[in-house]
Amino acid sequence: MIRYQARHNTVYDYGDSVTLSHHLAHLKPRDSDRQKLLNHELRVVPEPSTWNERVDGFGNPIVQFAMEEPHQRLIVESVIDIEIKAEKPPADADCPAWDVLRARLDEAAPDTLSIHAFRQDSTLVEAAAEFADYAEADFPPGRSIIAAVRALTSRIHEEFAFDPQATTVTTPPSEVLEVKRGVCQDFAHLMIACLRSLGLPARYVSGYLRTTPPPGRPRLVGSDQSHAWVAVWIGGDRWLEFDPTNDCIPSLDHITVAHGRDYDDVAPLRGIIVGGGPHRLQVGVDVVPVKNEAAAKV
Amino acid sequence: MAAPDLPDTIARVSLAIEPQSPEDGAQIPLPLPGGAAVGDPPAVGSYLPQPGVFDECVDADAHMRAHWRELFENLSAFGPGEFGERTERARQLLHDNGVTYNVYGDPRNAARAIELDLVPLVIAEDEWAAVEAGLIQRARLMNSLLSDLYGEQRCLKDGVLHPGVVEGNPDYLRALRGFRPAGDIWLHVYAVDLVRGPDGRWLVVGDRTRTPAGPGYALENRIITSRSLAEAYRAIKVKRLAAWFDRLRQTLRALAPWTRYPRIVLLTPGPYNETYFEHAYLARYLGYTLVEGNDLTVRGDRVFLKTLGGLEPVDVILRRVDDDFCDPLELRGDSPFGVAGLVQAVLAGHVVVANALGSGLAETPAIIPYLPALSRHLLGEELALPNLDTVWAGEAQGRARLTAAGGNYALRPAFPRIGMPAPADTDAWGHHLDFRPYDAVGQAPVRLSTAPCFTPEGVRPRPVVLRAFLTATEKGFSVMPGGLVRIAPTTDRPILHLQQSGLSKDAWVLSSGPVEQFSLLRPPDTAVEVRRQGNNLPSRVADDLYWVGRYAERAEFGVRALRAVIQRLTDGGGPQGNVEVGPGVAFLASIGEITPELAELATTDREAFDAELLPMLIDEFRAGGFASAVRRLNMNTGMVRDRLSVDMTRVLLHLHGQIEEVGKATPGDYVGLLDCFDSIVASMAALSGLGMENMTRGQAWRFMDLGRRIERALCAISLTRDLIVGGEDGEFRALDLALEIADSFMTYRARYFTGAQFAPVLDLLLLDEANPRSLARQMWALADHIENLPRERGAFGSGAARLLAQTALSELRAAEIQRLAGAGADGRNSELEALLEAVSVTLPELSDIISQTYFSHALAVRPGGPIRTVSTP
Repeated sequence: MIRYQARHNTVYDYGDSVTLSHHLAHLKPRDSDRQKLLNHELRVVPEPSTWNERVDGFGNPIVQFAMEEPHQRLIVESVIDIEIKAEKPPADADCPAWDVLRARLDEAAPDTLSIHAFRQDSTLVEAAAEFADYAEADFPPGRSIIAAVRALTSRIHEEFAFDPQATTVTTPPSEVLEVKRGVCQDFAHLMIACLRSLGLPARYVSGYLRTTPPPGRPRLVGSDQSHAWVAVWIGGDRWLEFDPTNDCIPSLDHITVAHGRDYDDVAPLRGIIVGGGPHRLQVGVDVVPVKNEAAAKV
Repeated sequence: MAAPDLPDTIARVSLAIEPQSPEDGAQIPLPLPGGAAVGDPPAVGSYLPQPGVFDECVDADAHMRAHWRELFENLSAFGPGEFGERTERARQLLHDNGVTYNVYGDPRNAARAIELDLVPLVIAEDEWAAVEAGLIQRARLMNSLLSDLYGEQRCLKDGVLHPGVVEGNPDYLRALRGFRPAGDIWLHVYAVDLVRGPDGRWLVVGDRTRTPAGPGYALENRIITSRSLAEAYRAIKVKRLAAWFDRLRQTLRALAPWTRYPRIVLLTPGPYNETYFEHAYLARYLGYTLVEGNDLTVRGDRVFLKTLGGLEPVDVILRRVDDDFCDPLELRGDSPFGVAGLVQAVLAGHVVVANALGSGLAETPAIIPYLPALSRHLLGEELALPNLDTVWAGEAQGRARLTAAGGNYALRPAFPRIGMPAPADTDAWGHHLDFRPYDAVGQAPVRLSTAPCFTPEGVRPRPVVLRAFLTATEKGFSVMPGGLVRIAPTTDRPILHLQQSGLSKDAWVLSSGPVEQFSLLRPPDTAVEVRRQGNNLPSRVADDLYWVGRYAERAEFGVRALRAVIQRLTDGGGPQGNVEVGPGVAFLASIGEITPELAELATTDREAFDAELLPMLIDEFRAGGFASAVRRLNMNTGMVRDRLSVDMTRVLLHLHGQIEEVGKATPGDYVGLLDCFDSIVASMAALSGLGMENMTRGQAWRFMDLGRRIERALCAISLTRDLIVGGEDGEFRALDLALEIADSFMTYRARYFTGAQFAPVLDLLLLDEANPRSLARQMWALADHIENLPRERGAFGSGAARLLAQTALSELRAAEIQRLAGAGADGRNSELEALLEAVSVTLPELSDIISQTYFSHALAVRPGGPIRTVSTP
């Protein structure tokens, strides 16, 4: 078990005054089997005129806030105190075959209701033959779901180059597949498209990585920004996470904030503003392990 | 702006139907139209229902059904050809009222006329009672289904409904999970598409729970049909529609119990939406403010309307914007039609949206196969109205049935997603079934029932589909007696898209009891609060009206100038022709009515000039020309349709036809062209007359007239500069022409009894405040308008505008005509030039200040820039 303190700072500098703005934040981490949130603070400057804390349709905590006074700078600071547990992934033999799993989808058992949200198309990810074709090699009939998805994760890691210049926030997975480049968000979307095109439910996980690695281990890609990876349904109400950017199964280094069907469901900060002109954005993420007593005062 | 993927189609259904052969049908003479009866040539009086098809009017033994007799007895009194004439008049009436349906992707002719068949679909009273009961049950079922799906989800947990129908549905708004709308009403308006199969049973083919389109078209059809067939409508007891609309109003009013006078708005995606006509029509009929997303703003979790007088609270929103487009913050981020923060305002209970946000979920045809079981589960009742056999490919059983049917089922999209295959595109659907089976729904073929329709060949059976409408009331759901009947163009192609076939008709439900006589006018004993128009005009509407004024004046001025110059062309050109032809043509070029190149040709090569003139005149995309001004005028009036009288709309539509006539004139036939322009000038005069005499002197009128005055002042200045002062040597003074364009010829003659002279003409067109077209008169009117604009906000802006207008007016009043007319030592009228310059600089400034002060909503609302989940190695 590791306890982390994470800071996620966002600063918008607007060219012109913003006279009215509404924002929606997915910045407070959800609890799960793997993690327990000990404390969370969200500070916003200027002072919002409305502030509503809710839970979204996927069980993620959200905050909706608005500013009605003119402002030229918005600062959103999220400070997280959280505990992560190591969870051993199940053995290949203990997981059902992927095609057996797919055949089970039509049984509308009460504990599998929500999987259908992650199997059909979402705003940014549409199933198509090209994705099924790409993934096919790793999914021979009867192969354990965990072995198959692990193979796909490794192949995406090998065949795709990390390149922040190659794509934008709206690049569709089909284009990523073509140029074989992108960032963690693109790889996650691509992998989700592959899994859904095979008929398997997959979801998008947004979160953070530990900033500095334990001694002797390399620094992980994506550690000073928001990160994204994938979870796949492995039967019942169980999901297993995979990180195609780092070719690993998330464990002690990954902090989950939210999950949804794709980035659009869980973007850390959304906003609709009036005015503003051109803007400059700075984002910084810092995740450091803390001793228990040090973390007590955040 | 146009969003082709917007699922507001009146029906996204396309039914498979077997081709029907017209052979072997018994020939049944119907006594219509125009008294044609037995013995007449079959082409006129015969009616051939298809074998194996249920006909609404004639039974299998070729006898007319009892409930149709009264109608046909009545119609048989018509003289020969009379039915055709009445149809033509009804068509004209629809055209004049501007009843249209917008077609996406057709920028030049976006609005297509809806056509009406005058023969109503007659429905017997007892039969309707059964349909009505079934519809009410279905509405209750849909409403409790929505309650359950956004609440406990019993029907999912108990395995009655496949979760894929809900979880994968883009209309399932997760943000509304756990929400309960006021009174637990999700469906304030609900529509059902019904067809009748060969066995005579009514079948449901689809449900409309999102923003049901059509009640306005049904009402308009009723108004025109009852007017066109007035004798029959009076003689036959037909259930009336008005009471249904009043029930809808009462329901919406009751949604805001916190206020005695709730402000209810109708939210439209805007004039480019397919059914915008209906939005404007219903807003006007129901008495609601028609608004677009940008007219509303959320502050402190409450919704406000941006008006000239500031923000006004909104209590109820009757929406015609699709669920997921309603809030770009929490729903679709790319929606230009929504209001940021609306979801939060709804959750906080400060505003009620009708239909409730999220109700689009029940519209998917994928839900249809589950309805019988859902009815037992949720209501404990058997489903009364049967469905057309429908399967969803998202579950194994449905896929198996589709495969077994071997292409017999017609495929249609299960959900409103972008890029779905066309119904006939079998290959694309095959691909879809492999990778996104949940997106496909199959419906069994059906042979639609037919009803008598009037065609050029006579009365013929045509397949019909009935859209029925319901509204929630305190005592449960209420069905509109009748509905919108749509007709397929041919017997074997029952296409239900309004974009493809806008042909519809009225439905007459017979009544044995007294007919409910009701009008939306208030009964005399209801107390009404006396109100005068306040400052509650939406800023956007003020903006649009301002431009309506400017473009109307611009178009009128252009047409007057063209007419006057063409008049002079009839005298021939060159030295022996009218001396004002040269300056006149140059003036047309100067104001942009024609190009400078064409102006050259007028004096050098008249034949080439004639050939190019007409196409240039009617080119509505050439900036500067009057046709372009009329196009912009139409665009702007289109956006404020609910604010303008029907008469004004008619004049505008008429104008469109008149411009087309110009294009049809013979090149070189100036007299024919003059006739065209005479009628256009008359239309423009009618338009400004309606504005002057028929609009209340409220803010709407003020902003429209403000635009008109600014434009007219600009025109007066260019007229003075180009035609009165003339060229640099002062030679080309075309004083008669200037007087004629400014419609001041008679005044001048009456006043001076001489030919036009420089100083008196200048005085009449510049300084004489009694002349409605003089520059001074415009400045006086502008100053008056600005004095009366709302002051609550932007006191600075209105103060600056006042100062500008008053200064310009004072300068004109202080000017002495003899000094203005007198040339200096350099031969120039420098004092006049300075005065014109001062006023012409003032006008654009005034326009800018007014825009900034009152139309500042134009500040774009936009996404704040998403943060990309990116990482660097």
